[in-house]
Amino acid sequence: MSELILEVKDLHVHYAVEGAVSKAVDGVSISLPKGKTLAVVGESGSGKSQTMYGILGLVPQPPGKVFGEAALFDGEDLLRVSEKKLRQLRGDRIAMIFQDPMTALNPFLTVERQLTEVLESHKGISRKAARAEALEMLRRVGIPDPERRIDQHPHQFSGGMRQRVMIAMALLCRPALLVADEPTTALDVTIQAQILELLRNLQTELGSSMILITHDLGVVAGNADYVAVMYAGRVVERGTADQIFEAPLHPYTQGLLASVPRLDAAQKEQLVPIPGQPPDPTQLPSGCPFRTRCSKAEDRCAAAYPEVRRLGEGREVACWVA
Amino acid sequence: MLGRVNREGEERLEGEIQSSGASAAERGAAPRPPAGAVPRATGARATSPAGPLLDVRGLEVHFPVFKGSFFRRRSGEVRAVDGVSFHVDRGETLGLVGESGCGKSTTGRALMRLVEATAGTVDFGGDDLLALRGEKLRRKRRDLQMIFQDPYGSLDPRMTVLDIVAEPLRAHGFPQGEIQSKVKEILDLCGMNPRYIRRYPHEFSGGQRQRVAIARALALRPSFVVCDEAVSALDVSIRAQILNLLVSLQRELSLTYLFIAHDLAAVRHISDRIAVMYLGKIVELSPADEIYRRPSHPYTQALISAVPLPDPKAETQRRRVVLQGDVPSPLNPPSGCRFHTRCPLFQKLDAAGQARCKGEEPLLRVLGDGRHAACHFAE
Repeated sequence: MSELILEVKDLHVHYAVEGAVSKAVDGVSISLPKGKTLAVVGESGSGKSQTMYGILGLVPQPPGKVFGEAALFDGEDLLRVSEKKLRQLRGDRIAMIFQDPMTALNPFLTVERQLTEVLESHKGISRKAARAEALEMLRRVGIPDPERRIDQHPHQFSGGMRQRVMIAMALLCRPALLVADEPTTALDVTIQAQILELLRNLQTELGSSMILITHDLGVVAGNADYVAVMYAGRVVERGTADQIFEAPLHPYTQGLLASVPRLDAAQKEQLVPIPGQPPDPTQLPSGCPFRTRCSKAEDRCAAAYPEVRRLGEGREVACWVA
Repeated sequence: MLGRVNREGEERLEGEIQSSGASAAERGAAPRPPAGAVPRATGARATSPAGPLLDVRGLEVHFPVFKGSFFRRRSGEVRAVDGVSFHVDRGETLGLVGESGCGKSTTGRALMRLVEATAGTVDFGGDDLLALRGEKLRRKRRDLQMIFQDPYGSLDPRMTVLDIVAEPLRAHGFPQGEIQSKVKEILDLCGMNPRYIRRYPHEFSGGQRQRVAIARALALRPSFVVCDEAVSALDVSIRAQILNLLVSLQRELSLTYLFIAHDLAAVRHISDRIAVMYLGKIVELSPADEIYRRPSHPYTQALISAVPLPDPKAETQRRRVVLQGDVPSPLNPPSGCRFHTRCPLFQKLDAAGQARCKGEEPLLRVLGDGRHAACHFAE
């Protein structure tokens, strides 16, 4: 297998809530080869964002608690490096794009200040040189008239343009790993298409690897090489995008694919929803957390969490029945 | 003749068409279509036996914009909805799609009289909804209900499920003794356990809350329901549950829906016909299948091609029309066809064609097979 940029082994993120422990991430293992895109898919509360926050040291401790075997980024264990080292990595070699650019950008600072700050703190170059680089990056992410726009504040940008600013900011230091957390969820479809195309092009250009966190299976299909499906804090299935969409093994993955209305499907065909709702992370059922909604559940599903079965290079499923 | 009427059995009073045509002409802002060409959005169901339940003509909602604080003066207006006409047949679902700010929600709200329309008529069972006042309006409202996007914001956190669903019944003078059984019955229909009537909204998940919101909307047995992004806030597996619920309720209670959403796949799934809006106008109105198979308006084509499909093979083979730029401000919409500033077709036209798009506003015209598009060059 090609060289891995990120390899996470048995990661846990727990939160103490009102005397109980909420297992937001409960033993997650994922890996990402260099230059590729891994999509982490799951519904709200499945732990997909928390996994990334855990790795990047963005979980407040306490009330949170992050532990695990390892989270190797380019050979370095992110779970064991110092806070100072992590701060150096974040924004430089690892960058993040958040869902909502309005809350992720500082409304009081001009775009110029926010962009140059990144370069000044990580690269130690002068403000003037940083401005030139920031301008160049704004041009590359397709912001028209960057010389004028750079001195404006975030509220003067539309949603799509703001997301471009976020992307410019994330890519300024040419990160080896880009974590995009629902980067297009807040955007309209035509703008989403623009932003996804931009991300794909820049990724090829800079040779970055990307983790794409999303709940939109359509976005996954068009942009990911590998997919990890999460449910109740665990990865239930891993594989290439083709494997996941064409031969899903886990009943949850199968259920997800059957419940999405498709633009290209015959009309008013009954959708097949997954019954019930995701479990409360403080009161996970015994054994497999999906068994309460699973049509194939057997007695052994309640007894213990299914072993993760390896079916091939990067192909795994955690289900007794599948 | 005024308004091409192409539905069989359509026997509309000539005078009514005249009057709405005339008022549209009176309103006539600068580059308006010649009088008498009020687009009549008729649809696929040429032989619908039931006929339209709701008939919207020339609906406009303009919001004034003010400048200054002390010497406040009107500096312009946002034309959120700018001359929209369509009908919804009995038992039908009409989808209304478009991007943020296109006026789809404002259209739904204007029908419900949650915002006041600036112009237009909405015929609903013989009455003009926009002209009703006082008690008559209140009584009419029983028949029209709305389901909102956010089941967290649309339910009062201090009311129990019983109170929430009973509120419309009480407001319309249902006998006190029957209310509880009525509430239980409707909750059961919506897939909620009637034992939960003493609970509060925070005790439920998003999907269950949306069921409560649907139960409240249906408590008075309305004939027409506006679903404004009713499934957009829900997770994938729950969204399918609610979509299925809406479809089965429609059959059981013979409901008519106006289904407003930005999610084209969900809209196509549930709708019989779909109207596509752009900057306050309907640019295309066609049967749901046709809109996916052969979108006629360049904007619809771009919109369809931008929706990602959950299928990696299909994704790599698709040709994508990526639109340039953002939607222009509705404060100052482009002249002529409002889409011409971003239109991929416009760029390929010769000078004469481009001049036409810039100067003349295209009307919604019939293209056959129930398809309608507001584009000079659509086929």
